[in-house]
Amino acid sequence: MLSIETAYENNNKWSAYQGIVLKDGFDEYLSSRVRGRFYDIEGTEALIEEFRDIPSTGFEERLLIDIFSTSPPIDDWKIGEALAECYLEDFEKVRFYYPSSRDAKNPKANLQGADLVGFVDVDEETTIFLFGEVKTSGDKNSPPQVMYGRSGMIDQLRNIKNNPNLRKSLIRWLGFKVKALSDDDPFKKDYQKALKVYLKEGAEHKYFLFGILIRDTEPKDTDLKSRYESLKSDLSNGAQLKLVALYIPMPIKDMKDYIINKGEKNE
Amino acid sequence: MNEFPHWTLSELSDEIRKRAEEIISEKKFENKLFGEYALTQEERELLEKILEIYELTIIDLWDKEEKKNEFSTLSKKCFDILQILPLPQDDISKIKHILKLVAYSYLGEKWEDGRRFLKEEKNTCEIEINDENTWDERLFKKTYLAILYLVRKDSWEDLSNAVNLINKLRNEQKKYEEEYLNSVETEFKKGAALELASFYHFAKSIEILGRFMLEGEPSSDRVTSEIDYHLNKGIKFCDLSGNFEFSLILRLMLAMFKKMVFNSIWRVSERINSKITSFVKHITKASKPVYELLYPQRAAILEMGLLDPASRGIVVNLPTSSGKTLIAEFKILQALNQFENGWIAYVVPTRALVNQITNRLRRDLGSHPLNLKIEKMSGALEIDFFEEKLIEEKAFDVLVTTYEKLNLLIRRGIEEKLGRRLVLLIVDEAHNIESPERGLNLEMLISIVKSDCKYANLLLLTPFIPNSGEVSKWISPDNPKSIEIQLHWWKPNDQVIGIYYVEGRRRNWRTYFEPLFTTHHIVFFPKKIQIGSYDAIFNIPRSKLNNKSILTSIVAKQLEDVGPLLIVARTIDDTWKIVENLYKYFDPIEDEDISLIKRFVAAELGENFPLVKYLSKGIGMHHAGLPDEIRYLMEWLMEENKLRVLVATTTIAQGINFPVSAILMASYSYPFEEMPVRDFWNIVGRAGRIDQKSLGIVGIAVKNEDDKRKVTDYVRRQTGDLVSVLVKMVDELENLGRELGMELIIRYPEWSAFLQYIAHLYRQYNNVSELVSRLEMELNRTYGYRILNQRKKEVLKNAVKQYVRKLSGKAHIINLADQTGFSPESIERTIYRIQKLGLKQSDWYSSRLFNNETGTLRKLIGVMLSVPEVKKSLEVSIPGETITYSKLSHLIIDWVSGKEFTEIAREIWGSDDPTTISNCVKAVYQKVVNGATWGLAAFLNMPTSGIDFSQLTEDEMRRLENIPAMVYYGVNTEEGIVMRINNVPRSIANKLGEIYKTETGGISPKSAYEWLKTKPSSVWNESVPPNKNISGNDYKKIWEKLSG
Repeated sequence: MLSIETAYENNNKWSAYQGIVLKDGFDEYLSSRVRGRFYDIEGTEALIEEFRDIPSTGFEERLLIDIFSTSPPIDDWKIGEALAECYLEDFEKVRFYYPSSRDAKNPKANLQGADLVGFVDVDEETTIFLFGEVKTSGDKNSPPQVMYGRSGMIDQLRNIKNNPNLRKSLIRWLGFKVKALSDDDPFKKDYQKALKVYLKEGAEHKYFLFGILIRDTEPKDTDLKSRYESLKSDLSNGAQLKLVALYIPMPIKDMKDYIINKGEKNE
Repeated sequence: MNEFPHWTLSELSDEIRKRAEEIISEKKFENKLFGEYALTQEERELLEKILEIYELTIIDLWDKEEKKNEFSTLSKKCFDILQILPLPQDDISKIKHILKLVAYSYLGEKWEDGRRFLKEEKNTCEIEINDENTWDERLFKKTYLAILYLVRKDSWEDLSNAVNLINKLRNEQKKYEEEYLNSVETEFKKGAALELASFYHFAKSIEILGRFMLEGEPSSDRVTSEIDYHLNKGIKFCDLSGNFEFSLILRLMLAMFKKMVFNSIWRVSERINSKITSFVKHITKASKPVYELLYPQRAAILEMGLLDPASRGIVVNLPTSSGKTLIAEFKILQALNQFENGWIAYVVPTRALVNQITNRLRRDLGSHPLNLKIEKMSGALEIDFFEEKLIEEKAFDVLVTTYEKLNLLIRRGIEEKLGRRLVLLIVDEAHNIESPERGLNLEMLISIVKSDCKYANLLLLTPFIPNSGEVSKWISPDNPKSIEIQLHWWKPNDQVIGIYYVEGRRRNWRTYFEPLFTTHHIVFFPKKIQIGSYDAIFNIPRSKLNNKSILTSIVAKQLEDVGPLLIVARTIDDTWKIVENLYKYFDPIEDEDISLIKRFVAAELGENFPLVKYLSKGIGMHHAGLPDEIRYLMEWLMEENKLRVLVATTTIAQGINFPVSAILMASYSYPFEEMPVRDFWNIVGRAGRIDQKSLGIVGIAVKNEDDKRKVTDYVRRQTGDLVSVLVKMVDELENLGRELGMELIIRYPEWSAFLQYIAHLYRQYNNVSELVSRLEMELNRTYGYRILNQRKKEVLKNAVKQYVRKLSGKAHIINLADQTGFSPESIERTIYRIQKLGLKQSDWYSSRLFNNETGTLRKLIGVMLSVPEVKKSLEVSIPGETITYSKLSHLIIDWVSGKEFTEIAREIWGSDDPTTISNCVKAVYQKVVNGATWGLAAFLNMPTSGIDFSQLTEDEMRRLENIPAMVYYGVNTEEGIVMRINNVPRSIANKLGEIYKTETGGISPKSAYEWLKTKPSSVWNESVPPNKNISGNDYKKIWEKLSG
């Protein structure tokens, strides 16, 4: 069982940030819980099969198959995302229903999404949409570089917040996902609950923005504080914000050992 | 409004919803009026919010068959909102916006509007594609352009362009793909690859759809499943790469593409027969091709069983401008296919429509590959020699004519003479059944066809009637079918109906438009919008604007930029006042077509006829005081967008068959009565052009609050049930009959058509008692009888029984009633009166008949005016007319001799000022050509005419049979008649006919048509009167227009 400890926190009505130290049981957590989540996406093999039919379109498939034929690198940021999802599910009353496709993201695509799309309970009765971004960084500076700049966490969160079309697309897309499900499917129930809140005229919290930073340094509130203030200051009606820094008890680059070999060093 | 309950919509208050509708309406209106509009931040946010909720609801209703109407309704609303929201500037956002907009137009059954949006918003296709674009961007932009082509499909090239664009992309793959993939960071390569894979499948689906649209192959089911396959693959790849937005776009495209296949005209040919396949191939290759069916067409043809051979009678009950003619064309082909050697009758209310429909059917069905023979017969209530010939030679598959004429033809046994069966009767504007003037005749026509033509199917085309079910039960008691649109909101285009008025004082005034809430409303917002204000060119104080003609002229000037306007006025005098004002306000325009028509009007009605100068400023007129040809040409100029304004009278406006951008009604009543609500909506239906900003504007002039109240009430009145004229007549019979005796009432002229029907029935029975015993069944063939209550049924039956007994032993009279369209009573009277004239055969020769010296025509007119049926259509008021009708007979003689209207007006009215010329034209076209033609044709058939038909040579027979046609066409030679049948203007018909006769030797309408088509303008030149400022070439061009 993973134990955690709050290193620092700052709670306001609609926004908060927290530094959480992940302590005992992290090895086990990585090699079972996170590992399971990490591999819970469509296999590459199956995708290559799907590509075999591209010639029926009159286009060539070769280059695309080549890309999928090289075995996927196990990047730290992908593990970070899986870890963030597991953490949110286990400690923040968050639910994810659709495996996100860490392996095949394209941030430069004409049309974009978000790292995390799920649901969060904000009180006994209320469930709202959650949109989130995850950054993993071994940078010694505080705050780390990944918080800044155009592809930095804060800008990405701001983008979700300021770009209603993106949010709308994500919600519509979920709508299609739940459409075929039976009415008592938990995914559909969550969706309908969250959508009701989202559509409510004048609702105070319509959706939740989550930013998760994965660190292997000592906890310092400077990792989040200034960036949090900057994002909070232009928080618009309807959004709730929480930034969480997870301080893991091992170097980031070591995480993949637990994913690949359940903790045996990969030689 | 008219929302349905759905949990996502419950968050939306009625107030917000209403507000959104009003914003949309108002912006559409402003856009139409001023070419621009602005949204406030608040308005924009509101619309975006509602759009989001609607879209989320749509997703929940996706693919739910039982919710498809709700789905369409919301899609249409999304389309409306997207049209109003500003188009994003950068290419990618713009593409997303437009793809969504177009998809919703399809899903909302408004694809023609989506298509129009693409054409009107010029920058929809301005997308920058250059070598800076990465491969994925390039794919996105080019697939977008291909979709634009697919949706626009103005021509065959558009579709092949769409297919070619996809092909080019395939060639570009080599050049761009590798470079692009190399540029993507390693960790994102797979995402990029998945995106490309989505695009490839997307592109393929576009190609499949484009090819299907072009060729109709493979089958629609197969195409749908192929598109389904490729786009679902695309969606899967998007989902895998978390590319949510693209995933959504592909879902929308999938639904839209399926809809395009579903609406495709090819689907009609898949299920029916070879004739229909040829037809579809033909119209998809035409210069203005048709690839997709409008919603009502698709619903009628593919979903509601229009072509179901088991349905003997169908009422197609659709709004004006829903493409009813195409529906009729499909039915024609189905009927001809179903019955070997059958023929079809297509009946319409007016002479103008006989021409228009004939031209349209010839264009669509008369050419290769179908080569159906389409012929028309004039509206004259007689059958001239050439028409007899047409029947004798069995030379047509489809016959187009008027209600009354077909009634006459059927009673004269056309089916028997042809030796072919009438397999389908199409009745256009069938709501005329309720017209006090002609309704009974139409009803009796349908009843007679039901009784005489055992194989005939019936297709009634009507604008909206609430009780179409009842009507269809009448025409097909065993298997009634009524086709109407279920969706309350579907209209060919959006319309705003409102009032216009002036406010202010002296020379400081403004004009306003204020929308009204109506029974048919779509577009409404509670706000008055300023149209314009006082300007020096008007130079008129506020007080004068109480005159609605003046107010209307000013508003027309202020709306100049809106597009072609139709102005409707109560009387011909009012139209002259309005055009005179408009002439002061507008600047001249130069246009070749207008100049041509100007020369023609000058040649026909004189250089000084004011329409000539009005035309030079783009102002046209359309009323009974203008010859048929000129009216037709006015409509043509309007359709071609050449006129700024067309000013028409209320009566004529109802028959106008082309769309206009806006309608201004200086009046909404007929000269002597209020306009029936159905007629009003029929005129309103013309507002909104397919090729322009879709909103149609209808304004009604008001001068004060009281006026405004009246109009407000009027537009909220419900369109009533379609009722038979017979019902009212039986009421009268019951009330007055007690005092005056039923026998007397039933002999009133309005009963004529009914009595003819009874007489016709009588002919088919051996004796009175046999008919009486079957009377119930026979009367049941009429619509009126069916809807009478039992007591009234008895009243009518008793009157008929009494009447029938009197017919006993009068077989020859009854026979003549069928031949002439007179009631048996009129026949008896006529035989007697003609006998008293003591005519000889030679009196009937045209040289003697149309001769002021002999006086024969005068005497015949005297008899005509004693026959109630003819009297109604021949009474003309000519100042100074004598009791011997010398002026009227002089008028007819002048008309037949080919004199020009200016000359006739001078001779008969003693003046050639424009009003007089107009009165003269009206007398001729409204009265003479109908009444005198009918009267003469009937008299020729009387046993007392002095002609012994058994002794006539064929030549003599022909000369006599063509006498009435000379009056109808206003020419005095047979070759002139043949020219007129072929739409040659009267002023050159005799002369050109002479040349034709000399050159070809024979005379027939068909050979004349071929001759006219091939003769160079030099031949036409020879026929032009020397004093005219118009060339043979001009005439030829005019002729080409008139012949469609």
